[in-house]
Amino acid sequence: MKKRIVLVLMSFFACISVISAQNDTIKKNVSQVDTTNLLADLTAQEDQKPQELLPEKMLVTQRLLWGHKGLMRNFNRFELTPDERARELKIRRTMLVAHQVVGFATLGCMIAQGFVGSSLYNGNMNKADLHESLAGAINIGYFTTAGLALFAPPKMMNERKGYSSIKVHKILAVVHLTSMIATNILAGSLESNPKLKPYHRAAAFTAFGSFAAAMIIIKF
Amino acid sequence: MKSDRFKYIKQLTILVALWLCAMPAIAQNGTNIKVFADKKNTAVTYAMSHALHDWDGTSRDVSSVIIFNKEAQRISSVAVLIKVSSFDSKNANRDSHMIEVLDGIKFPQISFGSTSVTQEGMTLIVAGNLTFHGITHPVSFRATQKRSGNQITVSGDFEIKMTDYSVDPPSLMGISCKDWIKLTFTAVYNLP
Repeated sequence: MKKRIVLVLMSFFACISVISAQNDTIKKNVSQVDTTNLLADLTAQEDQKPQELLPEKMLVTQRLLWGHKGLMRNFNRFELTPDERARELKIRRTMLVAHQVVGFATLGCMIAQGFVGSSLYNGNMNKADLHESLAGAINIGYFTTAGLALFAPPKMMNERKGYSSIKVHKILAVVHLTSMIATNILAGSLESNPKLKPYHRAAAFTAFGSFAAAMIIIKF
Repeated sequence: MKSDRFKYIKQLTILVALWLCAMPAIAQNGTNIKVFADKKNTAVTYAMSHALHDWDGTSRDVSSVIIFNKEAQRISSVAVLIKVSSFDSKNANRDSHMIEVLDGIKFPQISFGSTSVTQEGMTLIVAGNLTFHGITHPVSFRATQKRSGNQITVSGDFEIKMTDYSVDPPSLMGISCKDWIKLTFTAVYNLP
């Protein structure tokens, strides 16, 4: 009789331990399966709207080339599809890196021009040729830098609310673009009207100051 | 003959009784509930570092769900899904750059699914798989949970290396960012 009771108890505990072990395995599997199912639930809940490929607002120059009906959309290679847009973003990156490199080179030329121009302003006319050459290099560098930013494919989203370093960078771009154009116009009028020299100089320094500030602001 | 049958009945009765006693322990598994995160109070922030500056971006469009065991009063599983485009660093150019670097058009989502959640007091030790840039890697981290009535707030942080997920750290002015991204999260779940 006692043996039977012991046997019954042993079989019961054996059953319990087997069930418990099974339970542990089930628990582990449930966690795994649940997570996969949970992610599927979350995906199903997500907004199924396809991602917008272009921002609502972009520069006129960008819209002309890269907008929904932009000139580049006439080429098969630049159709507005997710794959092509991903490639466009790479082009944008290359153009913006070139924008930074050419911008730095232009800033170097501007610093040199500051010394040469000041020397010329003080009557040292034998640097006139160098001043002109540097002016040519600055113009090429400056407008290449501007073009690389203005005609790059647009970013993915609209501007964020509030101020940011990139917004200040763009405001300063308006200032230095205006100053650069003024500097060039005034330079062309200096031969006929030397009295404009101080204004030419002021415009050039404004262009340099705002251009340098636009670069520094990116740090923040 | 009769006494044998009686013995069998007796043994069977004992077995059934023992089974009935053991049932609650076995049945404990069936009290799991699924709780979705309160999106208004849930956020994930990434922080990155560059030689010129440090910055962070926050996503407030975080979808998350937990499996909560009512009997044990503990979280047993967690899953999170975030859109790459939902991170806002207050600079649209930078956010667009991040989408480009992370191939956000091809891989628009970042997901996390736990493989184990261990509770030690109010600390959760979470292990799971993070899928980022289309690549899945196991991660583990500690999180703190706070209970306030029916509300559970889970917060914590962990770091990942971009290169582990085949992401080239973005660069500015020719200088690459540091490889590490610190992810900080706060998720609020309201129990029914």
